[in-house]
Amino acid sequence: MPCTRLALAPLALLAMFAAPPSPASACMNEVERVVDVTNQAIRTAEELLARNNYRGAAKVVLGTFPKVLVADHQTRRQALFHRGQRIVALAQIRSGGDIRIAGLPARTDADREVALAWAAATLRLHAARGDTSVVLTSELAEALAQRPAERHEAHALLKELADADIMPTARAWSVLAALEQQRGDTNAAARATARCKELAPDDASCDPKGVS
Amino acid sequence: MPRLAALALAFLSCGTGPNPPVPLDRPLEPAADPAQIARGQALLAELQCARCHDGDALTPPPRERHCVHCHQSILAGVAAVGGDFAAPPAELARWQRDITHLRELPELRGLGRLRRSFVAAFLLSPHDLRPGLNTSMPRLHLDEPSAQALAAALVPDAEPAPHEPAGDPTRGRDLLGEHGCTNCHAFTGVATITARPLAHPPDPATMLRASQQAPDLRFTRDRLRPAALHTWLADPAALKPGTLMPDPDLRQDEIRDLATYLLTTPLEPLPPPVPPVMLPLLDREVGFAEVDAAIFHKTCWHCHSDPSYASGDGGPGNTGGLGFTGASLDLSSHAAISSGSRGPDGKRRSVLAPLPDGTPRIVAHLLARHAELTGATPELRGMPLGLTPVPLADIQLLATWIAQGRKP
Ligand code: HEC
Ligand code: HEC
Ligand code: HEC
Ligand code: HEC
Repeated sequence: MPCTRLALAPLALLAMFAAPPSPASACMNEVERVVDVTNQAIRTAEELLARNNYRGAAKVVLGTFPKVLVADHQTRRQALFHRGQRIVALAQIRSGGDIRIAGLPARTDADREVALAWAAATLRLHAARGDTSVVLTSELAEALAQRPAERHEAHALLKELADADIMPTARAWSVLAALEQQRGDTNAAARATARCKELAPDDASCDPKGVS
Repeated sequence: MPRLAALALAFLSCGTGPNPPVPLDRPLEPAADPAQIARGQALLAELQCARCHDGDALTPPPRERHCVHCHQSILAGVAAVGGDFAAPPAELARWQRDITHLRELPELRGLGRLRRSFVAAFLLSPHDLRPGLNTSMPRLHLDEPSAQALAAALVPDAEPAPHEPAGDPTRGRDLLGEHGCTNCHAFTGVATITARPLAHPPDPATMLRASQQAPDLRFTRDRLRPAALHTWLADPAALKPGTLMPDPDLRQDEIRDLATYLLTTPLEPLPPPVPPVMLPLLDREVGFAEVDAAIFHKTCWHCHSDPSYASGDGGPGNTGGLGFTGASLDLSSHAAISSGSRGPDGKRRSVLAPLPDGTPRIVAHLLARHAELTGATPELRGMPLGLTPVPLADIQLLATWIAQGRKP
């Protein structure tokens, strides 16, 4: 009996290969890692960003999603497109608006301001879409922290994460430290800096003066 | 003429008249309520039982979503032929080495042999039925009425009255050894039975699968309807087509003796559940990479993944599935793990922070899985859900990493 079943199994599977691709399950990310160049590219961009290679990160994303500036662009890999947008937005923020992208000016201080505003608006849009990822919240706070009018909101967002003990990265602690410093709460700033240094002992950006 | 001969034989072999059947200490189960059956059928789809089980009442999802079909096809090497799942041989070989769970599962066929009350209780509080299988039925998000409804859908028919006379349990015990039953079956709670080699053993691969699928016979009296037990021993495939239990080729009197032993022999009680004991924290520095390789990426990440990289599906433990709405817990990176989960109040909370007793929440879930396998039903659901517990030495790594400040 079992023999018949074993013999039939590969046939059934072959039939499945012919079926059109449908939404992947959790494990499929591993399967795709090998064959899916979009996944690979976005992961690469993420790594470049983590190593502070802002230009490199933006370049890889633009190579994959040339329409990264179009807020509601629809693609087959929507989630990865959004991820790419977030990477480019962070690259702008961390480089002080210095990344040149066709469609965004980038020569004068005013141009940089436009790029930073785009980055903050983009992250805000993702948060408004209902993406509840804590990492996104911290990224949005990082963008808002650069904009004096919105620092208050940045502080509130990060404070909530810190109080719930769900601060996702050392960088988020360093942004909070800088915000506390600006508000004049040196104790809170020192605590945030200490946590940043605990998480990333070698990272100079934990020093609140390192963040503007 | 043959009928007369049979009658004569029956009279000859039972001089004092046939024994009554083994008495039931409960009423027979009536047919299930049609409304409950309908609700149960809807739940079978809602709770995605078909992502793990094949079965008569189940429509399998595409392989990309089927935990067992996908693993089996990768193990069979079919993925190498191309299509969406093409992988270089080295990668495929690594997958084949890594996939140890959800390769082999009981099919939900011929379930009319089971007691409906057993199915309902088992779904609510699953325990390990098959010692050879490293995966258990997961504790799903179910309340009592839903479990009853599922049981009604899986076992809709009334229970037939047992009519086979009781046999000789002592002889039944000997037959378990003589027929080699315990080559495949564990029988905890009775004195060890030494099995004779099987007269016609299946090929080694089938034998391995059969010994993984063979239930511990301790539970049979709770699981099977007694009338079905007789049919099963006479011809297992008649009740469950495709079953891995070979036809045992038994005489009627042997079946009675075996069934009587299985239903009536006194059982040693199971040892009481033991709370797992944590190993002390390590003295050395433990980095995230080590914990990630030993726990998160090895096991957890397959159900708690980053949805951006998996076409929106972050797995049952993150974006939901298998009837869970998902705890919004992504265990695929340091930043994600630090981001915590969504609690029942809808607010995010840390999984690394301690519970009131001082144990970090995530560690408590890992210990709960150890407790589940000793028969307990801890309040926190054991993780990894339904799979082999994380070894205590790896939990020690995780706890040490958390205590040392959970650095990236
Ligand atoms: C993640 C995979 C998984 C899912 C999802 C799952 N099961 Fe199971 N189920 C198992 C495993 C593994 C076993 C075998 C456990 C054992 O033998 O100890 C099992 C055993 C069973 C059994 C006992 C069958 C037998 O022959 O002993 C029943 C009944 C059952 N499951 C019903 C269900 C129902 C109903 C659902 C959906 C509500 C479901 N299962 C969802 C993995 C799963
Ligand atoms: C599209 C195919 C596919 C599907 C569907 C799939 N997996 Fe996997 N799974 C894999 C591959 C490939 C690996 C090996 C990954 C590796 O080696 O890195 C794996 C590995 C695993 C592992 C770690 C190895 C082990 O055995 O412990 C677990 C746990 C796991 N899968 C659980 C699940 C669960 C639960 C489901 C269903 C909800 C599922 N998988 C669905 C392809 C799949
Ligand atoms: C080659 C391995 C093998 C041998 C030998 C074997 N069985 Fe089984 N048996 C199984 C498997 C596998 C199952 C589960 C089948 C399924 O669910 O499809 C099973 C199921 C059963 C069940 C149902 C148990 C339950 O709780 O559901 C009983 C009773 C049983 N076997 C009795 C016996 C007896 C008695 C013998 C010896 C005469 C025997 N088996 C020999 C593999 C074996
Ligand atoms: C087979 C899928 C699966 C695997 C594998 C798995 N989980 Fe889960 N996990 C879930 C599901 C589903 C939930 C949601 C349960 C609920 O809602 O009660 C969950 C919830 C959790 C929670 C509780 C979150 C909360 O705040 O309530 C923790 C902690 C957790 N998992 C940790 C882990 C760890 C650590 C691993 C690896 C050792 C792991 N899980 C492996 C499916 C899985």
